[in-house]
Amino acid sequence: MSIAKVGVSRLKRKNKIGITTGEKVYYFVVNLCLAVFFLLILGPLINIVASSFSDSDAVGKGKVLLWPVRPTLEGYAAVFSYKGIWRSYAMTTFYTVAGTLLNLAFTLSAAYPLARRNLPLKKPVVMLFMFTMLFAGGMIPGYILLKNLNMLNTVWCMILPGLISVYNLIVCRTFIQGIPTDIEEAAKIDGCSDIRYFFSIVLPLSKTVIAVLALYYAVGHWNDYFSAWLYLTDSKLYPLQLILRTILIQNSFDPESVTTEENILGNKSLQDLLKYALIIVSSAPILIAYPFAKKYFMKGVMVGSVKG
Amino acid sequence: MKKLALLLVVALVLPLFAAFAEGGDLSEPGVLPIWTGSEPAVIRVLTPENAKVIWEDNEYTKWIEESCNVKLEFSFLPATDTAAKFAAMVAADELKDFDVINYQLSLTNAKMYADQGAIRDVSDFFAEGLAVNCDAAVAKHPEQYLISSITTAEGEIFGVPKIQIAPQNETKYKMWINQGWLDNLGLELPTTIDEFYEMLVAFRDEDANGNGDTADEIPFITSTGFGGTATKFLTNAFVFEGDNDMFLLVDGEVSVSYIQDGWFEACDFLKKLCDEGLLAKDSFTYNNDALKAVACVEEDLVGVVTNSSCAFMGVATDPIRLRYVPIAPLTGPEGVCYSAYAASATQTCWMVTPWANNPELCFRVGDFQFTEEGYLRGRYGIEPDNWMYVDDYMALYPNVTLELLIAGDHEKKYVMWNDIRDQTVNNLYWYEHMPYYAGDVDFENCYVADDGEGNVTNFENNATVRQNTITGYYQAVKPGADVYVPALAYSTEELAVLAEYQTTIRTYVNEQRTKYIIGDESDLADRDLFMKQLYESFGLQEILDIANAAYARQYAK
Amino acid sequence: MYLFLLLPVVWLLIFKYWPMYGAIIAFKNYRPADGIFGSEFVGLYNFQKFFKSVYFERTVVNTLALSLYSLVVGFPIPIIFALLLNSVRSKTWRGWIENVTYMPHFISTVVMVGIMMRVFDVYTGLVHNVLEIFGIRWTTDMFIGDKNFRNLYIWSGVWQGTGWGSIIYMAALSAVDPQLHEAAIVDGASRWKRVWNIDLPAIIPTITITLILRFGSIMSIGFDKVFLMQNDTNIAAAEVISTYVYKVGLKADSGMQFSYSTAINMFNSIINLIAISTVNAISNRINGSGMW
Repeated sequence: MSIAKVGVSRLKRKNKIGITTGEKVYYFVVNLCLAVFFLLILGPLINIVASSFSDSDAVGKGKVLLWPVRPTLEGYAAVFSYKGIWRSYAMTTFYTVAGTLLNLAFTLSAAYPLARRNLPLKKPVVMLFMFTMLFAGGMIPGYILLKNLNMLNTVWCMILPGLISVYNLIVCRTFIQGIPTDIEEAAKIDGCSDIRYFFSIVLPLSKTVIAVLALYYAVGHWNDYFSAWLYLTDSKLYPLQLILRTILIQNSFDPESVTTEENILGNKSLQDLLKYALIIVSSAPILIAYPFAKKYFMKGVMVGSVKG
Repeated sequence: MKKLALLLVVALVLPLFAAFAEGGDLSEPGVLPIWTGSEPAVIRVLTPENAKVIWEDNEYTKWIEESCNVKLEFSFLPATDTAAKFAAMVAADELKDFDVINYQLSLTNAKMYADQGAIRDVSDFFAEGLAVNCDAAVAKHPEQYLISSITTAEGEIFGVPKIQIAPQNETKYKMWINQGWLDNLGLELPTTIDEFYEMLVAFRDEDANGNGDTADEIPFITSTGFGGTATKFLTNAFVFEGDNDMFLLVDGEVSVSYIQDGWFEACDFLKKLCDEGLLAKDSFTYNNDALKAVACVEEDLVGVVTNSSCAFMGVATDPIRLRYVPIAPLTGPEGVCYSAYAASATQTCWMVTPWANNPELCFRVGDFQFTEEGYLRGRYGIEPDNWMYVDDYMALYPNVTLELLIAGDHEKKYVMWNDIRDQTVNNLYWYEHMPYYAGDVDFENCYVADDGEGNVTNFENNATVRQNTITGYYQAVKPGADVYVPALAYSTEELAVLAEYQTTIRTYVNEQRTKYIIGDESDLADRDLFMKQLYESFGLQEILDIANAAYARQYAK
Repeated sequence: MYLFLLLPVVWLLIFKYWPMYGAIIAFKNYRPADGIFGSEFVGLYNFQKFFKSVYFERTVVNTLALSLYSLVVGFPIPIIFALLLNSVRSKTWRGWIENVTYMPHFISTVVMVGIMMRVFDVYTGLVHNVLEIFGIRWTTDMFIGDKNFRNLYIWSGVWQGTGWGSIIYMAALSAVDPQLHEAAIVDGASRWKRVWNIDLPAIIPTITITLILRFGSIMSIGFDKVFLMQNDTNIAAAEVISTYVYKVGLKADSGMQFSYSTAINMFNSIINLIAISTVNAISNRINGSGMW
């Protein structure tokens, strides 16, 4: 391991010293492209954050650019004054953590055998999975199924129907296939069982892909609005996304049900603000969590690759 | 383990209790409580979720429960895409667990769900005289078709209605003109299409906003927001064009606006406005937010907008908003002058499912709410915390005069707090998710903006006053019975045919018209082709036949 | 070994295959009261109805056009982005780019479309304001017309999805053995050469797989964004199959034609199946890296 480290640091030094003009141009162009793209994305993002802290009238008139205009916390105060919002945070966190763990367990245990080159019946099983990507029974039979399984209005209906995403399964399988076969052969010769091989070799070597899958699944759960929308009639189980949409709807302009104009206005002005505050409220936790998670996993990746 | 056993016992016994409660009896019609059992009867209600209402521990809920001796148990439809979720539940045959659906539906939709077997026809209860409050309201307001408007061609009724008579929404397509620009150029408010055209030309060519630049004015730009749409207001100076289906009567027969000569002239006129840079093309893509960002800037860039009100621009006292004054519908070259009128719709709300334990009880609890008291409690909250009688209010705050309180032409009876309904989470009322009969309440209430000490702000230019005035202009030229086609009730077979065509033809007409106006390629350029498409691809003849049959059934003298 | 597969396959059979019987409503005139099996059998009526509909050609063409456009533009950009980003040397800078560029993924569609309207507004938009500084007058309303619709839809998708889409390639790149680079440097290979000869080949399997999968959804254009961007002036290009299904399938006003919308979805699936099978076969033929 120490040798590898030395190698890497020497590599770095070499890079700095031995850089050619051509490479300078290359790095300059790359950095320039990325910087432009970075700014193109950062600008509107800052605008969203600034808008969420601004006076609603200024937001509505499009006066907010990169800095809050007449700063206020009104939008956030409004969001958090709604009933059930904290509970829904807890529910979403639960769905995300529990759901992602189960997702990973199922996906990995399906991906591993399917990544083996010599598994009989592999092709039909892959087809079996692939087929469900293209054909689905549709919303209503799915609903009836959960009803028959007595899972409507339970936490299970938020977790089980999407247990394996075939897309993620395929991605995962591709990664596992990338593990050199000689490792497996060596392990086999040492008398390592499939299960031990899976836990002690495949899993540690797949940390990167696990990190990516975890991110995909976690974000999927975090943003999942559809399952809750379809399967829940008990508002105590509502996840954050559904509550947030409910709030937005209640503040949106529904002229058919409003008799006087001033009520319209009260609703309307808050809505401008809420739209932005809601993005922050709904995505901040996962945005903040992601870099830490990434750091952890990337560390693992380095260790893994050096070992390998 | 013990706990589990206990839970099991409770779970097993509870339903027994519910069944036990069925042992009671129903009172005579009009007598409270409706349920006479010793235990309250449980009614399972499916209702749309509202982030602002705490349903269980709610004053309105309690009022119903205590008055009727029932217990309401709520389940929720999500607040977003509610209709789709409801449709999915119906499709999965999933309403068996509910007694009552407290969700508003148009008659057409209610009929469709009833045909799918999801809603019980309650016309028998009406016939038996159980709808005490509904009948009383009909007797008091025979002119409103309270119940007949939710009765189908076959005589079915699907629930207790929810009625919102809102004159300002009946004529929502209104025009607002920049008074400052008129003053700068020494112009009067236009009354005819020709004057309107000349005014726009002046806005375009001259320095209407007085900033020294004759090119920065946008004479006419609007949005697709509520009551926006450049086409509706102007088309009605050529031929009557209502909302949605665009039906009208021609010589006693139901027809549609978009095959009348006047309609094509209107299209040409609008195209001319667009071609000459008088009407901004963006009008067809803007929503109110986008329009606000252009019209509500200090630079004063916009001459004319159309919208139901200018509330989207800012608060009632906002100087920018007050730049714009409403005008009455314009008169066209042939002397045509209508407002794009659509009568307020009555909706079915408190619906009993075919699986209800006690349908009669469920129905009567809905009817129970159908009073002015129910409306005041359910929509505004409790007296005197959320609203007061005018007399009480003035007795409490002697410095408040009747003039300070704002209302329409009606006698002032109630004072409502301006802010309570909108901003806060509450357990006082159901917002408006309930069957209700507003009666005269909405005309008799005054909104106040007070500081809690009775210091009432009087808006000189109060939006409500302005809104009432302009609504008057538009109601005055609404189409008469010889032109206007009231809501039609269709049979199941007719609905099946309409489902094929109605949405697509509407999309087609609006699309072709817009493209024609902004100068894109459009079937409208060739009127014969347009007509051919309507009849051959979009089933116009079928739609008209059905509409005529329904009209003859309901309104033939 | 099959033990690993047991639970996933059981799950698959229950949650994916069991509900598939529901697809038969495509051949029926489904009425909830009659149930899925009890409803009247109408054969291919719903399919014929779609094929004969005035919207058939329009929605299919629009869907394919949008899909292919997005494939040509939206597919390579995250790859290029990942390759560029991977060759950035400053770790802090790289971390910043990574963390910022994936954020737009979290913006909801409603807000996204709102931002687009605001940025491209002809009178007050950001683009207008910036170009005005250079004396250029911005007069193209991006929300008017068919061509603008497509461009706006695709490029805003690039804005929103590039960072997120590159995550998978970044992961693949991080698995590249540093020794390979080291060896190449010793051989005097330039950075560009190393990207071309080391990094790109390392992610080819991932690219192949994502590309094949992409073809499996060629008929499935997301509904939200298109729907929000639609208006009378661009509807000729913006009516895609998913928005049409929404309008006829779940809107009570059009009579909730469940069977009809199921039939359209089934038609989609079949096209998707054909597309993915074809691409997979081609991929197998070229380098044996197909999925099955």
